[in-house]
Amino acid sequence: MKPHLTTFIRTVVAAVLFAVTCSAQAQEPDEVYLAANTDFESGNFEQAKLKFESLVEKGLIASELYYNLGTTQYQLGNEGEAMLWMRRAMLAEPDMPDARQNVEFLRTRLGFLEFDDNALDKVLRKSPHGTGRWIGTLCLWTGLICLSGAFFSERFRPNRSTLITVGVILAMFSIVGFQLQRYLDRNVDSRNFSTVVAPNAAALTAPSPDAKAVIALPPGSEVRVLQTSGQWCYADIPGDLRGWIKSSQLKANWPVPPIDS
Amino acid sequence: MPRRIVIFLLTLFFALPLTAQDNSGAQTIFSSELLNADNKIPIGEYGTLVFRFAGGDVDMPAQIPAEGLEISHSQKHSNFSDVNGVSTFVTTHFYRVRGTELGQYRIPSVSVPFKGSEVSTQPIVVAIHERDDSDAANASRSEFGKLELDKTEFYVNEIVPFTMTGYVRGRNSINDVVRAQLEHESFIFKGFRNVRTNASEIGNTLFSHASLPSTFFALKPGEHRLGPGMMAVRVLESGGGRGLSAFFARTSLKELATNTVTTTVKPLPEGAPASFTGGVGVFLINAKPSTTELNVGDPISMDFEVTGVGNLRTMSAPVFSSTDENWKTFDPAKTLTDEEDSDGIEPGTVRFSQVIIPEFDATEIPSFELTYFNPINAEYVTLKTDPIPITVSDDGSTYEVLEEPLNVSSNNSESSQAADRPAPAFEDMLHIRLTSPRWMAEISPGKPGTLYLVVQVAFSIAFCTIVGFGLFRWIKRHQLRINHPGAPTTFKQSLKRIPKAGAPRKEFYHAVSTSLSLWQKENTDAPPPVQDLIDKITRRCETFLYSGESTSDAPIDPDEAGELHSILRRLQTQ
Repeated sequence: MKPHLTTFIRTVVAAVLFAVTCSAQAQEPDEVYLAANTDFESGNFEQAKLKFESLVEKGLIASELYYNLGTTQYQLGNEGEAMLWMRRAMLAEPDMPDARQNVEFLRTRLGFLEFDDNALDKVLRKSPHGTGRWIGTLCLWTGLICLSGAFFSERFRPNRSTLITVGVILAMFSIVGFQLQRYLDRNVDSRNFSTVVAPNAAALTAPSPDAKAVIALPPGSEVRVLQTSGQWCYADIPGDLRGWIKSSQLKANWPVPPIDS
Repeated sequence: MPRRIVIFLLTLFFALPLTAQDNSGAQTIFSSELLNADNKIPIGEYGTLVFRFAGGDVDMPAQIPAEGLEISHSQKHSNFSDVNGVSTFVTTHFYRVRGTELGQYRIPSVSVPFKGSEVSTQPIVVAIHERDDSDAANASRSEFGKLELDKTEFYVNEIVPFTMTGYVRGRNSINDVVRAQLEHESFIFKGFRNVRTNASEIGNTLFSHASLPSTFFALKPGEHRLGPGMMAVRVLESGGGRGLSAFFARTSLKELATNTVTTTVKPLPEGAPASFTGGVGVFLINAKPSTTELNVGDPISMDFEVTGVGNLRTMSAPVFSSTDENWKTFDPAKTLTDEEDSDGIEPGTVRFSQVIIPEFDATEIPSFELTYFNPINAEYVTLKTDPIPITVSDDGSTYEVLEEPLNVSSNNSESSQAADRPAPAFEDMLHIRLTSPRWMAEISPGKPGTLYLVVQVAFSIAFCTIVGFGLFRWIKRHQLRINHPGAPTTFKQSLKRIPKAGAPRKEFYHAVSTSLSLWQKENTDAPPPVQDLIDKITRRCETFLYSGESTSDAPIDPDEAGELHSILRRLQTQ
């Protein structure tokens, strides 16, 4: 009985130690986050930025973290970076009111270019992610089952014409669903967009510093990268324009690249 | 012989006109003529000028230039006519002639080329005269227009009502008025907004008429001849049918010219006060400030409402009577809609708004003055608003907005003006969030998740099951067909192979038995009564085929075969 008791006590102690260690590890990001907030409030924005970035480097995701990093970047005069982090905050929490308000402020201050949402975009933006894919998939499978039932099942033979009609209609709906998802991924999902972070960026007619300008891109401007060629990106620009932009002047909204880059 | 005579006569008949035409060079005559009596055309009305060319056709111009006249081509007509005893091809060109000023004018000679040379007409002198507008003269016309002014002597800027009326002989003859036009460089016309149609007798003749009331005012003093006005009306050609016939009646467009009216426009008397702003008529003024309690430098919006009969279009805002430089004034704004404009008979309303700013602690808003000219008494009248007491402070205290808005009657004094919603300023970023972050595993995934894959698998299984069973059944049948070539594999096929009446009885029952067994395989959920019937027939077939009781291979009789055929057909349709 005694050796059993010793083993039990050892096991319990080990479990408690493991739990405490894990808890300490879990609390560490919170502590860094609070320390960064303290630095911000004391006006030490550079330190606050480094601490927030260290959390991002670890792959931590939180709308508050992105939002605070964006606000810090603004205090440091990096307005393009500030807009980028506000967009990332809204990716993590689409209805985040603080981020919306700051975006409105930056929009007024910087006058950056943005893609206009049409009525369809506004509706799709509110729909859950992957709506088109789900509609397409469910319609396609249901349509295929109807068609297979019509052709391969003796039981459904009397309703063959109805099943074929329903199957064809559902197959057509599935095409609409997949097209909707394609449109959503391309035009609405802000993960496909990049933000201009450099202060004096411009879209050029060719991937060369000597090329003529298409349009100036104020920091915070939104572009959609179509092709990357060396140090240049060929991108869609709001206002039905296209041009070449230096890759170093852009940052993808998502995923968050390593901070050093 | 008689046939040759007929051919000769026919040839002669057709050849004669051609000969006349060929020889027409010798008969060439080009003439012009005005079809109006005594070469006189009433002012504004159309006369008809014709050019006749005997001996062929010539190209005539679309317009003939003539000083004081409008001459335009309207139509062409050709026929054979007897000219100096010779049948000649004659072309007649019709032109419309109109003059809009009284006087004598000359239609010039017209020359046109013909076969290498030029042929010309003689000039014609036309007199454009004032139309006889008496009832007796009008009654003799089939249609005409009439311009009537309320008065022919009036002041500059005075609103004068007038009516342009189109008359067409017959009841309900006018279908609609397509357009109306009355122009003069010294007058401003309001335009024709409504049409009144009616019928009346002129000299014992019934006329339909369409009246277009409107107003004008003169810009320049002096004597002016107004008109002729032009009206285009659509006239019912059937003479004005009723009911269904009126619905299908054909219409034609007629242009009606009105008489002219000589007007005397008097200038406004000299010595107009400084506050005269151009209004001519009889008016009243009402003024209201947007606030009476304010700080120094705060704006006051003065709203004026001028109501009355007269010309509101030429009127400008009331004049601020104070010359104190501590009152800062801005340009006034004017609001006048067509609906609220005066037509010279009914009163209208014009609104002015002017911002004034006291730059000192004023105690009242000084009066505003508005002077207008009254054409009835031929005098200038000055209206003055009462000074409005105000409280102006310079301590930054808030001011009160007047509760009663402009244009609200006194019994509605409880309603209040809606406040403007403040707009966000966006002057700086919001502060950072101080709450603990809610760490997330990932943001909404861009790629499909586990649930999506599970659903895919479930649907795939269902699909493959149905297709698999179907394929299995098909393979089974296929093998059966290979092993027993010629044997039916479905109930439908087996029905086709059942022999007809007269076939050997054994063969017939064997085929029926096969059919029934296939039907049972295909319809496992058949209702019990049907199942019982199938069992009975199956037993009957087996009894015959396998009991050995019947050895006869005699042909099956038609009644028996018919009964079984009937049952099997009903099974097929079930």
